[in-house]
Amino acid sequence: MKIHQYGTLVVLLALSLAVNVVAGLSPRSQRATADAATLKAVSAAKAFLATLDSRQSAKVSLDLNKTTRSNWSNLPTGAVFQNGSTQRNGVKLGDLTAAQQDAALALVAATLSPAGYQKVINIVNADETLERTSAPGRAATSGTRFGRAEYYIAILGAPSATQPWMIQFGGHHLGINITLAGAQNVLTPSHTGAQPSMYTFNGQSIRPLGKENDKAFALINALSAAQQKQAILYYQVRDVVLGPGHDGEVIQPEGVRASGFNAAQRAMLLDLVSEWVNILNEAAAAAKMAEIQTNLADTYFAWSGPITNGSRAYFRIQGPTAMIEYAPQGSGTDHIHTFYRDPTNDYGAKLFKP
Amino acid sequence: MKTARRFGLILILFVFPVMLLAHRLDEYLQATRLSVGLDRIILKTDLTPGVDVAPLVFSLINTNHDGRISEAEGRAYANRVLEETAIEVDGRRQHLDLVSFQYPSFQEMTAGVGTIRIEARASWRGTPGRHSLSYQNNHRPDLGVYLVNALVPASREIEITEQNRDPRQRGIRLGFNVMPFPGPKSLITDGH
Repeated sequence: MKIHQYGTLVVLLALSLAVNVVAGLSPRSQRATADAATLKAVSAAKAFLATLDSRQSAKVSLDLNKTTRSNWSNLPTGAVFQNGSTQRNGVKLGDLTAAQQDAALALVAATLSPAGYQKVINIVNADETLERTSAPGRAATSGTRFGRAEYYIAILGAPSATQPWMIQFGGHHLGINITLAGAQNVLTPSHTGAQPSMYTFNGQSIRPLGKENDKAFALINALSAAQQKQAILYYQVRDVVLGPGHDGEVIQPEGVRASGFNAAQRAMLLDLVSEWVNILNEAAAAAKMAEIQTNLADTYFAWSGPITNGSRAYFRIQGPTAMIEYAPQGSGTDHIHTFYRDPTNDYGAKLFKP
Repeated sequence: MKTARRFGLILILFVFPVMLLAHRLDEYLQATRLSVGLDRIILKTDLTPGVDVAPLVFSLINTNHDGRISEAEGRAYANRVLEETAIEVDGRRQHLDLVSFQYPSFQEMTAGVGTIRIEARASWRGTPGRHSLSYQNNHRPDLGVYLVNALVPASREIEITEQNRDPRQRGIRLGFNVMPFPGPKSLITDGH
């Protein structure tokens, strides 16, 4: 029995090492780059705070506790959030000078990958588009506001290379919650969304969540008929299950289990998952992807809706350490909500107790 | 300037059609999570009326039509939802006790972002062995779209083995096992 246990451990360690090598990072260099990522965030946070006056600083710098960390939402300014709050933590971009906005966004960029930061900016720009198109028809009494001015940044706890703290950046369709605890950076729970799901900007067509959509449709169509039969739920799913306000909840998994996937299907599933994981800086994302890959056999992929790209379809990826939901809102595909959670490590729960 | 460049705050060259905010319109979303414990079943339902049906739903709750939902009106509507919700364990109907309720304002509801939250609880004693639970939501099927999910049990002594829903998710039937108890203490450690 002991030999069997050791054998399992050796295989797991070998797998972990192999994954890190595949990711291009040895454990030591991964740790070093993770440390560097935290130091970069600490430096950017201090630089941002240095631009603020005392009133702004008091708004931005908050205690890190269960109440503050869970204050995020998919909803726009003017709505009561799922946790009962009527306002996000921190200060909004619209109340900052251009230099302060630069420093705020530099902090967000410092914690994310370049592609992740661009995704965030694309979501913000989609909301700016929404504000410009919806504002003229809005009732004068309405408190609802969209647009880039309504994105808030907050720092929970003191920026530190060793002690836990958090950065929150969010607004309508965006909830970036990054917990930093020493070398560990955690992105869950986070929310990305888009409305419109496609817009033209500087002459370019932008789809903030286009890769998530396209990779998911590619995956469902790459499954065999038998796998599709397991993956495609026979009932309609009209919205996400675990959005804001559902911290700590884990639902029973459904769909097709990836243990039966071939190598190409596994690669496609990981590539799809990476659209959320890789929002975070490279070192932290590589470690998270390695963890998800280790648990891939126990990961489920569920689908509800037609499988022709362009159709309205919900999907869910659920494994031991990651849960992703993608749900178009209403009857079309122009308004999308996604949520990324880790049932074991939301807000860095494995790393510390607030 | 740098900020402006970063966001590209320039003219959006395209003229978008006037679009409705694609929030829910003529649907009444009713999302339920079921949590099975050794001594209770917890039901949490979030009800979100779409923009077009919000005035109707609001009038069902605000029965004196004063524009505000009072404690009594809120409690009465929550109880009505529970009366129209059927939970059976091993074929026996379970009585649901209202635990809490929370209402949004009329403005939030008519904007499609107001959610009514109801929590209820049924007491039962989980004896070791195989069990089945069936849930059926009969509240406003003329308007409703539904979600129902079972949460992974907090107690390690409960294992959900089977889930079957109807195509609209108005109902679910769960099969689950209760393991032999290690001791009486476990009876009071479960729940959310």
